[in-house]
Amino acid sequence: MDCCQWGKGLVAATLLAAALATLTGAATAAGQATETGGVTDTEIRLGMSAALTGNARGLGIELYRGTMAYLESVNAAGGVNGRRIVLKAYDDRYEPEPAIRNTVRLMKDDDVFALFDYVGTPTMNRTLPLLRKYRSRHFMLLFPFTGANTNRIPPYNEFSLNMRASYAEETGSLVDHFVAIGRTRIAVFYQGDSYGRAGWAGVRAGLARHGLTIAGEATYRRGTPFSESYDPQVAILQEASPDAIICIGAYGACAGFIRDSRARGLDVPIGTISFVGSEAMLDLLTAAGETTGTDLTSRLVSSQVVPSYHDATLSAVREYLAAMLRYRDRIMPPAELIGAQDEDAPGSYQPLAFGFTSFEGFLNAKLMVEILRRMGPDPTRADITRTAMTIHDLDLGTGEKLSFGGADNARQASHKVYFTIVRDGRFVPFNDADWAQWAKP
Amino acid sequence: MTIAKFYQKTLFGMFAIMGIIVVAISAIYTYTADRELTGDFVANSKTIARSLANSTVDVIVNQNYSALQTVIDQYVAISGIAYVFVVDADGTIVAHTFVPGIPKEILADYKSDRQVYDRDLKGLGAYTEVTADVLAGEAGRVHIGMDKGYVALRVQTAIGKQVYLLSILFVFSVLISYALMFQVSRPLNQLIAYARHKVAPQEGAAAGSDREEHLLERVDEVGEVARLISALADKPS
Repeated sequence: MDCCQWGKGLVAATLLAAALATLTGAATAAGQATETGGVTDTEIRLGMSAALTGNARGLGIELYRGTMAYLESVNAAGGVNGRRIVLKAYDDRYEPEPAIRNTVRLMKDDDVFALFDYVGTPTMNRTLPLLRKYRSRHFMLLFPFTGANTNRIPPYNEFSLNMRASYAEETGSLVDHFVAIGRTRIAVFYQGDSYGRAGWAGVRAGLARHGLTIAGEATYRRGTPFSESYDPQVAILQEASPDAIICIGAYGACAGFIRDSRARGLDVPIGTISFVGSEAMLDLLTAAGETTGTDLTSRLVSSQVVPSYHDATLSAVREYLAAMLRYRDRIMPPAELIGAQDEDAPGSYQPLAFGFTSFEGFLNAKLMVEILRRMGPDPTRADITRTAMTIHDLDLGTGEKLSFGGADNARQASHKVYFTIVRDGRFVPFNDADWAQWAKP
Repeated sequence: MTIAKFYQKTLFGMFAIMGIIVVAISAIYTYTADRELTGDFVANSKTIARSLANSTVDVIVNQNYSALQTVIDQYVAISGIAYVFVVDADGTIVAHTFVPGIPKEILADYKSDRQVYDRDLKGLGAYTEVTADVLAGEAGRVHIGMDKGYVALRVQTAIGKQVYLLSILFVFSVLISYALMFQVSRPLNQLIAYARHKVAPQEGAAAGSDREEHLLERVDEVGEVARLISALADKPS
């Protein structure tokens, strides 16, 4: 190659490199144009994966409705800094594999600002690694409807913020109250998966603080309906002669277990935790009780992570009740996710007017909007945690002060556990003094 | 369709030998397949148990039992794995996949150092349970129950296919042998009929002149015997 040819080659290579650089730059610019970080001039997109069909649909649908009730009111008032808050939801049937696919879709296709209002432990546990994989895009999981500790401890705590108390706190509190009234032989009925295991671990740890161990345990398979017989589980726990039983399950299974326990004469106090879906469980127990002529709701205590929505002295409750009534026709998940709902059709979901789950969804949305407001006119995913950590002693209208950050860098805003029992066909507060009526003779 | 009597004995002998071969091959294959598949199954189980023990060290040490349950729930989706349970360093079963509860047989005996258990769980079935230490046993131990019924089914399926193939070959061999023997027997029967006709024309079966001609024209041993019979019969006594 002579010097002229070498020179021509150099010029050609330079031109080619310049052309490639231009093309690459254009492509990058195009990529940035489509990558909005979940925020456009007109909206902020949140992404939700939850059980909207199947045996746990009552949880996902009610959480969605409560969240939408608040977001509708915010959007009606102009949104946050002029942007509407949009909740993009997908159904995972409370199964991990669909939850993973939904999360990928929300991250890659929908490009949401944050993952929000996820329902369940087995679903959340399997999706958390995706947050780690895409950490460069700063996705966060905010306020999932689970009290499992997987997103509260390393390595995934940095990708999540929680509003609610943990299962360890709920079960620990139940154990403390049962032990205080002399009921030290505590058995556990739990869902045979990561959710049930989280609750089981909480009961175990709670008992260990009193120098006690679990008296007996029985499991059921996730998705087992109310109509199934729970006699095998009841028989196992009866052998353990428990003073009290704590149920870690969804409403159908817990209601079925309570029905069969009472039918077999196992009449000890039974406790459930917030994830159960209290009102749905109550509906099943009430209907079954009417059929058999028995009261299946006595000696039943449910722990909650939000205050009673019957307590109208709380401003958040008044706000919630008003929003649920005002927007009740506009807050159901889209029909393409849950199917056309006909009131008279068998199998159609009948939404609850009010409930603990929708109230939690409402408060989740309130806290989310508070964070967005604090982020100012240019919210970014990367700024979510820093902004949340500025929240100290925030009262959403429940009377409880919520805080993130602090000395222990807390990523859970509330630690409060409430107790409720059924009276006159509805869940009402069960105060510390009330526990004495269940003292072991 | 008749076959010459002395060929019938030969044919029976052939069938007997072929039957013995089929049975012998099946027996050897059954023994070998059972031993090797079962051995492979236990070996794979040990590998799975070791893999599970290694992959759950952090969650066990951190007592993140919810995450541990997530992991073991995925293992029971593997064909042949019937149950998994994990015992911590204190000897407590901290995660398991049993519904509606941990079988009494397991509660009574799961703390020994054995690496392989044979379990008969009442109402559930027979299992081979393999174990693997977590952090050399300092953090606990993983137990995996392999369904013996699944192994037996795999062995039976493999053997069944083999025996099925051999049986088909045996039936084909019988049919082909029979057809060949018939081909050999037919000229002999014709020869007998021809001889009877020659010896006692009024008693023997009528022998068509065409068939007679055909026999006499054969260039093999049958033709030679036919010609001898014809010569002897035509010879004046």
